[in-house]
Amino acid sequence: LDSPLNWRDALALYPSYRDINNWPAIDIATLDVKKRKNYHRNMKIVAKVLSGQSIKSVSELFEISHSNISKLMRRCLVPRSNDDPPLTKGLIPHAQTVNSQRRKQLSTFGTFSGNRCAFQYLLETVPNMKNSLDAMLIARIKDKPYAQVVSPSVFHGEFKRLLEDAHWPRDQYPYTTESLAYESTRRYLNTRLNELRLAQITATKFREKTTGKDDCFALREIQIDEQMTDVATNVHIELNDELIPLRLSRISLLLCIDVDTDCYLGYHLAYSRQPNQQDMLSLLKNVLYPWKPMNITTPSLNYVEGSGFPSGEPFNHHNMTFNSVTLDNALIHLATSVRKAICEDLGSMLSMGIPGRPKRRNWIELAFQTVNKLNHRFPSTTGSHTQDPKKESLKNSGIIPNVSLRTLEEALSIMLTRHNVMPQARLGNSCPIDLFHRHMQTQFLRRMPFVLNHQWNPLKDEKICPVKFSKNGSRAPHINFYQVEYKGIALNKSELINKSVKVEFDRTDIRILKISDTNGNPLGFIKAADSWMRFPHSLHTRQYILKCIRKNYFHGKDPLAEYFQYVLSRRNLPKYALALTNIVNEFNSSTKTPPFHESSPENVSERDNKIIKISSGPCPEWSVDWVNQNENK
Amino acid sequence: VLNLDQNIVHCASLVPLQKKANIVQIQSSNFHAQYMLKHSGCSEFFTYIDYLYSGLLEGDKDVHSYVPRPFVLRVGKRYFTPSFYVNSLGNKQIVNIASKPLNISISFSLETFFVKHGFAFTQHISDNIIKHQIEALNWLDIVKRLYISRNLDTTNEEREVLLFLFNHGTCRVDDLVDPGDRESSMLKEIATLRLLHKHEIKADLDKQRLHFGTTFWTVH
Repeated sequence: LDSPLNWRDALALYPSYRDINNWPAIDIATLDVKKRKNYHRNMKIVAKVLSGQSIKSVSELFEISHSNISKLMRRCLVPRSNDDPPLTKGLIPHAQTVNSQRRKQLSTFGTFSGNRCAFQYLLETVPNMKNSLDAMLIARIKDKPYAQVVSPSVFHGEFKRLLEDAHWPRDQYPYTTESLAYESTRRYLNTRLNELRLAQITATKFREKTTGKDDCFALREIQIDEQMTDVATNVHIELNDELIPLRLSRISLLLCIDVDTDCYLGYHLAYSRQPNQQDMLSLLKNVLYPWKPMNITTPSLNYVEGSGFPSGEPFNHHNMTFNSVTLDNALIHLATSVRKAICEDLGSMLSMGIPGRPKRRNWIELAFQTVNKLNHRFPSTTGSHTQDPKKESLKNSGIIPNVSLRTLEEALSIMLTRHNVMPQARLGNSCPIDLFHRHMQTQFLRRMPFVLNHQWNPLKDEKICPVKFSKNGSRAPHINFYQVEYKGIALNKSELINKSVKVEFDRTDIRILKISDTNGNPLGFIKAADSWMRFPHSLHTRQYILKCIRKNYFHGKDPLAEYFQYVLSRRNLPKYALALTNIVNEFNSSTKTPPFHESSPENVSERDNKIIKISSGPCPEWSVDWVNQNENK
Repeated sequence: VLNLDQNIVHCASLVPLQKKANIVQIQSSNFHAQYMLKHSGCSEFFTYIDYLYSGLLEGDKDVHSYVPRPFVLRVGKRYFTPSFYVNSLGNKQIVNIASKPLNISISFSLETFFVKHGFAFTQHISDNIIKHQIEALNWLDIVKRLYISRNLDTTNEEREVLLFLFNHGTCRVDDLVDPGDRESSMLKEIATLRLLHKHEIKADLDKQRLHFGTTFWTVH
């Protein structure tokens, strides 16, 4: 033993160790059964010596020599190097209380003395060896630009280079071994890398948490995200009295979740691979407007009793606003209309999160994992790699899938509402929707005032447009709204010429606009050019059609019919089949109430009223034959 | 040695006006946006700490208005955007918030520049702001409630609340707001929070979140 102290000196240095109760306790059950007996004997010996009994009497009592008692006391109490004394650990028979060290000279080709602790000896002896190896590992951990990817062979190479630099004798270890200490280097790499990583983690300064558990409440944070449903579906279209099945491209699911109660607030299905800002606004509308269950048509599918969303029966929470809305940096989330709806209309805080940290929005990602349990019962459309057995086979990828779009919509609706009535351990065995309702009842949460709640529609928007009028009077006053001329008697006023008007529009149907002057006085309604009046179409569809015209996909004289024909002719491709479904849904909405029909004021001209009636009055169910008839004409 | 020659400060305009964040800035920062009361327009913040600090400014009686990221300066070869311009009791103040203080030479250059143009320059450390997180979040919550009800007229209700407080000394939120029917007492709720924001009444907001048991009392 290297220390010059004996055990009596050690006791003088650490007087608290005179009482064996101050020594750290070891659970006897963790010791090997064979060692327990001797451990107890050693414990008794040390306790008696520390209590002041003479070594002689203890020696006689336990029938053990004086020197062995001194060795035991020294083993327990004398610290090695700068460490603390082993104390209780020293009582365990044959326990190693000091780190092994190389005592003999290193092996040479002439004298072989074994290689035990030889690598450790090298680390301590060769100048700069340990520091250089550590620097290599630290560079990797801290992700320095010059860092190498540390593999055992790379690390061993660095070790050999350092030996060369130190002019290490060629007849000494590690040159005396065949592998040049490769295994020792590999083990040291693994151990040291873990030690340094741990040191890095423990050195990280964590910010003190200033909010407590009682700061969890409903609507504190809302997470929204979208994902393509990983299942192919079919749809049947009726064309010339014939039902044609089509394979659809994947649809997108937009989901909104309350973080603290894990309650799903609503969802929206977008019939496209890339949802747009209108889909985001539709999701917000679905969340805050009263939810109604779907009419289930698929046999053996049914809603779980009591399931639903908070805005539906029986809770009817549709005057809620969110404290903060957390989104990722997708472009549809950055749209001005989305920011306006969240920040200005709902008065919420919009948080885009730190880039590259999706775990900040873990609850919405977990929700998609739940949804995927349903979707992944079918072979996935892509799989994780080319040979993934979960991937749909080439044979099946060309044929019409069994699942219809309607069935998928119903299954998703049932599954998402079912989640809200499933008790969860992390919520204290409460159902998400019950907990949400309880928070809404008992907590002082922010509500949207009743007056605003009834007026709010995220799909309605406003825009300022200048009134155009030609000086020679050849054209009536009009405005250009998304590259289409809008006219009406409401614009035929001399005081409006060369001035701007405020245009109110519904994103789902932009055929008719409501205009008012810049002071907010209503002026009336104006309609789009006749070629755009045939079917209701959304702002997004208008923009897409205009894009197609610009690219000369079709002429644009009758844009809506031409666009439909363009998509219909490519219906065998899943992407266009999905677009066709979207068009049919949009165009069939002509049976619904037009956006400004209910509030049509008295000053709307007779002609304008007639236009509304023709375009939005009761008409037979739209079918593709209409287009064919139009073309025949 | 302060090498001031390398840290010459330039600024195109010292009119405090928040520059709207572009997509690249939004996507590369911890972006927060919210409508505030003491700053017109949508306030945009690139860090959570800045967002919290705006809450503290909303609750500061002396602060009349503020502008986040008011102007872009050029210090030597680098660009520098201070976190806030604060108008407090007529004093124009530039506040910079960072995890650690600025380099001493840059700090000295900026301070000299701002003093020359009639601004005071202050630096705050993030850790000192996070200590007031509960208070800041409470004020931000109040601001959200008031912003969404900005068009509601509560003149009569404010008078009623003040009268109630003069008679009783203190009152709790549930004395003024009916927890069972929030809609009927919405105007009174907004009136109370408006008085709180105008500092005509007070409440203890730095210990706990605003709840039905929060107590209000009059300043006088």
